[in-house]
Amino acid sequence: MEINNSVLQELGEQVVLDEEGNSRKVSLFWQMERAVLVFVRHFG
Amino acid sequence: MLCRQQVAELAKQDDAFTQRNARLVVIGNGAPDVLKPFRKATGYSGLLYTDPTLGVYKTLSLKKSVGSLFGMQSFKQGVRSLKEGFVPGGIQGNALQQGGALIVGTDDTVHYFHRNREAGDHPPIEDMLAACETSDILLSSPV
Repeated sequence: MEINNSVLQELGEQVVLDEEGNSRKVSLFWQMERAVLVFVRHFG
Repeated sequence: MLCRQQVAELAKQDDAFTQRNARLVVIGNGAPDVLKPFRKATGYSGLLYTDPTLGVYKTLSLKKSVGSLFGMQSFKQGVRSLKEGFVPGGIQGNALQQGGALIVGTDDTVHYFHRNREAGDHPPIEDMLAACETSDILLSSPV
């Protein structure tokens, strides 16, 4: 599966939470700098 | 504890990414209250987030299956183990979720994408560092 623009767009719309429970849109990560997103299986 | 090992390794490389003008972001799943203990366990001090809805995993089609948990080589053994009543401690639906890595530039260029095929199939850090060495703006000077 290629990561085309629509997939990237959809990914950017996803919201993640920090330790305090604050939400952040994923697209913000690569807005100002190259983002290396590592998705881990689980935190356990 | 594979994921803690993976992130502990990444924690050591955090500077290497910053030197290449890239920002490491670790995203997992589960409730936000697991993030602090995870930081302590891995020594990772960079950007850390969770997606309890699994939206990012679904969007990137990151694998979620028993097959990918055990890997095809040991799949038969895995099934045998389950039949014998051995259930790996704490395995729940979300723990079958596989991970991956994606590197995106400021111009929406995808520089790297890795989808973990099975447990332990982590994106090689060298590959990710190399993917950060390509410039998308001609401002960075050669290392």
